[in-house]
Amino acid sequence: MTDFFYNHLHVYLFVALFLLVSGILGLVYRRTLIGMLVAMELIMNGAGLNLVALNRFIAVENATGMAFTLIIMGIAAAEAAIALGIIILIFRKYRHVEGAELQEMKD
Amino acid sequence: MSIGDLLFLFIVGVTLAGALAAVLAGSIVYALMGLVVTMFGVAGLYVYLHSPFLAMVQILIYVGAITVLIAFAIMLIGPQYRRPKEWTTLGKLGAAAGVAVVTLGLFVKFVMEVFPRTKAPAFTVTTKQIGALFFKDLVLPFELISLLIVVAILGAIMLALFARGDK
Amino acid sequence: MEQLISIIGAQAFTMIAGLIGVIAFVVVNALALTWAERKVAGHMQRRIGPKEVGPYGLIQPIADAIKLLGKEILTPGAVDKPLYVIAPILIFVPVLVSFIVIPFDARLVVSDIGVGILVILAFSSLTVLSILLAGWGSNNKYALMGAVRSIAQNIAYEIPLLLALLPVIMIAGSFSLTAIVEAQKGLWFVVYQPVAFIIYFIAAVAETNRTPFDLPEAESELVAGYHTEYSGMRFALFFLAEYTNMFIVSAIAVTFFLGGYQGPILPGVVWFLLKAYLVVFVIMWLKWTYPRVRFDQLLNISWKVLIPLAFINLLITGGILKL
Repeated sequence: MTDFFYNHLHVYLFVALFLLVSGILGLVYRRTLIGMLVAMELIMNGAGLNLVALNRFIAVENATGMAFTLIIMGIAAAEAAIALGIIILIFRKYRHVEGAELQEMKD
Repeated sequence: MSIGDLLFLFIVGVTLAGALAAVLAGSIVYALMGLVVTMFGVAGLYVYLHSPFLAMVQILIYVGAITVLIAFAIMLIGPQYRRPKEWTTLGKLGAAAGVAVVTLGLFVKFVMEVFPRTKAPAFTVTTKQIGALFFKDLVLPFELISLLIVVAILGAIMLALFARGDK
Repeated sequence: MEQLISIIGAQAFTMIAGLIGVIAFVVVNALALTWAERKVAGHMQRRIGPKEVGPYGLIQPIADAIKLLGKEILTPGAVDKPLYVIAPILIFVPVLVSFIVIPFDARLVVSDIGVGILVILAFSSLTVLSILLAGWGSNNKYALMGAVRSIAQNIAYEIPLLLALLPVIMIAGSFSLTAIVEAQKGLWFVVYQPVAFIIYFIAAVAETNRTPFDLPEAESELVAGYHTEYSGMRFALFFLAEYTNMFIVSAIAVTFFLGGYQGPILPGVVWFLLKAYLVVFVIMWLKWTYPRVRFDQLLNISWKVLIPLAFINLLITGGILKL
């Protein structure tokens, strides 16, 4: 790395990939639904970072990557709101929020 | 190694550590704090990517709104007395190392081939251009996201009314 | 001195000097405001307020500070230690960051970031997080309920705050605070945007948890809200943060609506501090005049009155600007 670290694309892509893999590990490892939601937010952050990094280094003409990251933030917010509403309803009915125990629709 | 460089390495380290904490921590509130740290780290990285507007909006929306929302839900659900069985600390360290190894492998195999190491081009996009983009090229996604947010609000209200037992 | 500057670099030196100045200002400001609060409260209630300790009670806040600092730093046994300890420290980060961008004079800014006001708004959401940590970490029903109420109030009033500041940003055409003050050279924005000023003022008073919106600290209802379990130095930190927040909110009101540091004869800093402390005085005046708002009234005011008004104001401003 002869140049400064932050002037290269690779570090940002590595961090975004790390966030993605951590998020997937979280989805698999976490038992409670809220823990899975936290992992989902990690994945979305990673995706946003990816877009902005590629915008700055590869597609430098306009700001499409950044605008799309703003849209991703809006999507993450809407998704978190609805997911939490559903989780609270599940808690009221079943008195727990563990994903593995919710088996009503199972055969 | 100027101070900007060191700060960048610190922010990258903080982001990675926060992501691991968000995934592997025992209590869900500690995981939430790890998520907050990760979001701050990503905002710092946005500043290094010449987009301070996006960094501040990231903090405003993610830390200010989404984290508070999740925390509200955690507080309404209450402390989990029946904590699900989790791995030992050694197992967690192994998982963290596993994540790092898998990421490095994927990175070296797929990413480094597609994007060769070149010089960073100059980047002169301003915040005004993001706004102009939303009104010229990306009008449709803009309208769709506002529609999505309205639908999400209505959905949340319906869920709340459903919980109360109204029709 | 020159050696120090050459080692760190001129910009880092100004930043460090600015930070030290800011911290000193925060402490002095908090001391002055506690004194002013008790004096104003006294006079509003037809009594004098503190007058024993020093002339006009001027040394009273120092006596208070010595008392609070002298108390034992007691950590209750059942609290969640990391969260409990971090909460009072975390509540200071938005305060310090906000001070970095506020223009005290034309060139007396620690660092004029291009997205100035967004920095202040983004970091004020950290206050919410700190209240959350304090409430959850205290492991106490009353603290948790106080924290939930406080957070609900805070996020409900964040929206009219943002919406009231937006028309000013649209008129000035920039996020940077210095640019907004410079854009008020002809006429202060309070003349162009009176409704926005009133909405911002009400939302700001609610954000800093002052009466009439101080339900989270309602002493008669919830023991002491989210800082029930805190005592001594940590409680002093919460207290300090509240008073400094009050100053920052008035400073933003002055910068956005009342012309910032502009004024005829005296230097800019004097005008700025004069106007800011005038707004602080009005906030204190409100505290000792109005009774507390009920919780359902609280959210009603925000969602049913302030937000529609702010939206209509924004629409009208946008329309007028376009024509």
